[in-house]
This record gives sequence, structure tokens and C-alpha cells, in this order.
Amino acid sequence: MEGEEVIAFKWLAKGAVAPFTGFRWPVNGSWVSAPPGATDGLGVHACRIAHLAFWVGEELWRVELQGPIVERETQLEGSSGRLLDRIAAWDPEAFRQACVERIAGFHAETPSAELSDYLALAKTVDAPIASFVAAVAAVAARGARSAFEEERARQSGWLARALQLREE
Amino acid sequence: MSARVPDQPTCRQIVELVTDYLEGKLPLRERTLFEQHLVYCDWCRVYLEQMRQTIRAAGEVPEEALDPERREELLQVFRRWKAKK
Repeated sequence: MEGEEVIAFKWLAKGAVAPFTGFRWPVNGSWVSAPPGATDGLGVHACRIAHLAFWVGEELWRVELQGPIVERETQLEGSSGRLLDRIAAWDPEAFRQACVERIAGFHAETPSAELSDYLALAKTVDAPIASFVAAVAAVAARGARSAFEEERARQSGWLARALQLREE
Repeated sequence: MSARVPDQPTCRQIVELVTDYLEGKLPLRERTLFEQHLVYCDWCRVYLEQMRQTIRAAGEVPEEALDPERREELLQVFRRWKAKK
């Protein structure tokens, strides 16, 4: 996909800080551009709803990306972007709890020591880790590697419903 | 756990790739998987930040700022390390 302008979502650490680079995003709507000549993967990233579960963080923002915009497997990449507004309804604890319940469901369907361990682990970790554990537990329960992506898609759907997110 | 999802990098692989990541040399797919690992791995996130700080700090120390005695000690350590290889 190539486009010129997209409204999408962006996970950030507390204080609108990019989790991998430490870059503090301006929250006043200013545009941020990728460095000139930035290679593939080093542009401004954002998520479609389907990508959300792969990148869970402390804050979720609605962002505007400007093009050219490239859609990749688990993220969008543009040459510039700006934060529009923060999704105040994001509740990491509710998401973590949903992941725990999901693993409990797998364990109830196909009890095993492995799933029991995942369930115990998910109860003690934060939302990003619990969601990864749930996706791994899905693979263990279903016995198919494809269950990982399916569970991530399900988690993204959960986020979209719980946070009433819409793609524009 | 990583055996269930073999294309997800392990912490050991992240450690091996960290320099290439910081230098922007990782191919797109590896870079994406690297960053996805950081989402759910506190340990690797801390490690990456420590590496970043080390590189930043080392970059601020010019060679001439080293005490000559310390410089010689360091060189000897490197020579011994190289001789062992």
C-alpha cells in the first residue's frame, strides 16, 4: 500500500516517549519527520488496528502519518507524523486480565503443565508480556504455529472493541 | 517458551544483534522482530539502554583525556586478550 496520508495509532512509553529510541514526541500536534535518507524501517511508525497487539505500550495515541506511507506486516511507516490525541480509555490492567482469562480458557480446554506455567506467569507480568504469553499459549493449545498470529489478531480486535477504535 | 515461536528472536540473539541494531544495519524484518522482542522483554530493553548509554559515554571521552598510566594499563589488557585468542 502506498498513500499520502493516514490516521493510525501509535504506542508510546509514558510521557509520549518512543519506546525504542527515547525520542519525546511533541504533544502539541507538531510534525516529526524521519531523518533525510532514512532507510527502510527507520521512518515514522504507526499501527493499523490489526497491528496493535504486537506493539503494546504504556500510552496509545491517534496519529496522522504523511507519505509516502508503506504498509508492512505489522506496522505502517511514513516519512513524517504527528500525535493527534491520546486514547484515554486504554487500560493496561483490563487488557492484561483479558489475556490471563484467555490462557485460563486454553488451559481449561486442553490442560497441560505448560499452559499452567503460562497462566501462572501471565498473572505476574504486565500487559505487553501477558499478551505475548497468551499468543505463545495459543500455539501450545492449538499445536499450530499459525495460532500465534491468530491470537495477536484476536488481541488487536479486543483492543479495538474495548477502546472503540476506528480506522479512518 | 521461544521454542513455540521459532521466528521470534531469543534474548541471546538480541544481545548478538544489538550493535547492528544501534547502527541501523539490521535488515527490516530482523529490525522489526528485534523491536517486537523489546516490547515484551524488560531485560533486553534495559540491556539496549545500557549499550546506548555506554556508547554515548565512550563517545564523550577523547583519547587525550585518558591518564597515560591508565591508557597503558588498558592497552596491556587488550594485548593480553588478543594474545589469548
